[in-house]
Amino acid sequence: MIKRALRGSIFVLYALLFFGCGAQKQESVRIIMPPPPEDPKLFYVDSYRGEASFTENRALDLFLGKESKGVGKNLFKPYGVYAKGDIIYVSDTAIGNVFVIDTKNKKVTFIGDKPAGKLALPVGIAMDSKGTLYVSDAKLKKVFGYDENGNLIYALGNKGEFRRPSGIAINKKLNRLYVVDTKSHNVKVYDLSSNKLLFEFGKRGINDGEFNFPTNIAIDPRNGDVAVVDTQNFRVQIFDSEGEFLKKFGRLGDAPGMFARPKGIGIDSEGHLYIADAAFNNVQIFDDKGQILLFFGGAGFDPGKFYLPAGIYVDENDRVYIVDSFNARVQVYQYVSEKWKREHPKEYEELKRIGNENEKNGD
Amino acid sequence: MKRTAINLIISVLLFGSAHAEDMAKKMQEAASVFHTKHNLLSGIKMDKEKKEGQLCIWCHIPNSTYSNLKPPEWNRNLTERFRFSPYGLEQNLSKAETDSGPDIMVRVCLTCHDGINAPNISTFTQTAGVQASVIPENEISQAHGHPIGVKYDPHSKSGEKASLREESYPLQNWIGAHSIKDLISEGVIRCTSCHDPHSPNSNFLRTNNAMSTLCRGCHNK
Ligand code: HEC
Ligand code: HEC
Ligand code: HEC
Ligand code: HEC
Repeated sequence: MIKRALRGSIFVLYALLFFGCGAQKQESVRIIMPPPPEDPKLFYVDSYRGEASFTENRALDLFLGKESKGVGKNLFKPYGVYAKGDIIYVSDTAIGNVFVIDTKNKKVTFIGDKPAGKLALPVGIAMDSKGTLYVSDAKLKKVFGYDENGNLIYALGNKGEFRRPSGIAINKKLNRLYVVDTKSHNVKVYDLSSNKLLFEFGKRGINDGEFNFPTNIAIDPRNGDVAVVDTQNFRVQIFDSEGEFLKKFGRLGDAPGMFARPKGIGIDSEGHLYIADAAFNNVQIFDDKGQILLFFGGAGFDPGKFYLPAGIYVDENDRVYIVDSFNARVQVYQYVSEKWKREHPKEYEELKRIGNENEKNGD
Repeated sequence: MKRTAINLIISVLLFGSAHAEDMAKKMQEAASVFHTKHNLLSGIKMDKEKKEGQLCIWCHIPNSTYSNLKPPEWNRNLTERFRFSPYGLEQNLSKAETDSGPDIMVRVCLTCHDGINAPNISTFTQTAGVQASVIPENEISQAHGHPIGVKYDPHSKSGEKASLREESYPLQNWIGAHSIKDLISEGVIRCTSCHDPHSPNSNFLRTNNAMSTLCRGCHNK
């Protein structure tokens, strides 16, 4: 029953694609959601786990659904994620570094491994308009800033300022840093040019605008609204950029639209919210009114499946990065936005074609 | 056999279908959960009775019936009533024999013990500077120093080295266990081998660990 329901909801297709670079074969996994006749909205791009992602046999392992651990330094217990261009930044709470995964040059470097600005339990990641990378550390109770070379150039958090900083986000237009303080059950807002605390919002509770262990945060690129995952109230709350409560959605339960352990959140260019749930091992997509649009995932090792998903980030090209923490990887998806369709007309036709073919073959 | 065992645990983790007798007994113990750190509503001003009614939801996800659920907007063909399975239920059911997935009794805890909601319990020893390649294959991992996911086998080489007792060894004054067998219902060590979230002991231990009583339950040292 469950199996059937799963198949009905998610349309997964494994296809072999051969690229013409000499004798080298490369397999790729296609996952396109939702199933036809609906319009494709989201497709799987790739997964990254660290240095092992750039060794030779990974594609085959991936196809078989159990990537080998591989050599080199790889993610172990990742949580937060941020991406810019071809570079993915992932915090690892066990190893205590930020992995800088350069997908174009196939190279991995690290931030927070040097004595100055050494990280202990990095969680949230964000970048300002100058390219400074901000990382929150839940154990050191600070937010650090690093330049492009990974040198520490900024630190926020006097003694007692944060109790357990976690998710962070930056509003580039306002040059503001939003820091979720899980243990203080509030959000603190800083002006990045003066480093001054502007204001904070929220306190412990279950009413509107109150939190019970808030964790992750995302900013709506269209209007600057701030969405906060209120994990142990099993909901998402949305505020304006000044911290004024606007709306909320979600409650405890096991039906679509409900949560048990909501964590990461990302918002795409059209304002859709992506929320990971570690208890259900899935991701649900909502519109800005809290209406559920789609859900996908479920427990497992295969691409498209998750074990304890954590942070999510959606970049300016509507790529969706989902940390799959127990599987020690980041899965990357592409949201098929109107803009993407305009810019990739051929790929869009291809997506629809593959979908319909697969439907004819009966899964 | 194994399948029914797993089913039972799962139905229990999805509240609503567990056997009433057990539940009633546990409910009496609810008072003890009330004063622990797993009462995630402590510190919030609200009706005590209402709060007590929510002591178990942190791990046992309510499995209620829902009316007027609409299918997701982008997938309107999904007419079948759909429920999410908690902690990877469908995976454990379909793979009960091979069991290559991370254990449910570890995942339940790790949904919160991620360093943000609750203390970070990584499933291996050191935290800083670990090269992932050093971490053994098949994820035999360590929980604050102790391996997690290892098979309990007193007759294996490593089991002998660790002086493991026979599985039938009786345990006295342990919460929810009469012999070692009860600690390792799937044959492996997991969080619930040493911890019982319903236990009134400090750190939710299955027995007080003064004089290493807990450790000596399994190790003859
Ligand atoms: C921190 C997580 C957690 C909390 C809180 C919790 N439980 Fe459990 N419960 C579990 C787990 C895990 C199991 C699986 C059985 C095992 O191996 O211990 C379980 C099993 C049970 C069982 C099955 C019998 C048994 O002991 O195996 C009952 C009944 C039960 N819980 C009742 C409750 C009640 C009533 C509450 C609230 C007062 C509660 N639980 C709160 C995690 C929790
Ligand atoms: C719903 C979230 C949640 C779940 C699920 C959960 N815990 Fe916890 N746990 C917490 C929180 C919150 C604390 C207190 C953290 C603090 O005070 O900093 C805690 C504290 C603890 C402590 C320390 C208790 C003390 O008195 O200091 C132990 C031990 C523990 N948990 C074990 C477990 C085990 C074992 C499981 C799985 C059966 C589990 N937890 C599942 C949230 C959770
Ligand atoms: C071999 C027994 C054993 C196993 C297995 C075990 N624990 Fe513990 N745990 C202990 C003992 C003993 C303590 C008491 C504090 C100490 O001595 O470290 C403890 C303490 C804790 C604490 C509170 C102290 C802290 O480190 O923050 C948490 C939380 C906790 N355990 C969670 C877990 C989780 C989650 C798992 C499964 C991944 C687990 N434990 C597996 C024995 C165990
Ligand atoms: C539920 C049974 C159980 C309990 C309780 C338990 N252990 Fe273990 N322990 C094991 C098993 C099983 C192994 C793995 C043996 C193997 O490798 O085959 C192990 C391995 C170990 C090892 C590594 C073995 C070696 O010699 O290399 C140490 C050290 C250890 N345990 C210490 C402890 C301590 C300290 C405690 C108390 C906090 C404890 N154990 C509680 C079952 C248990």
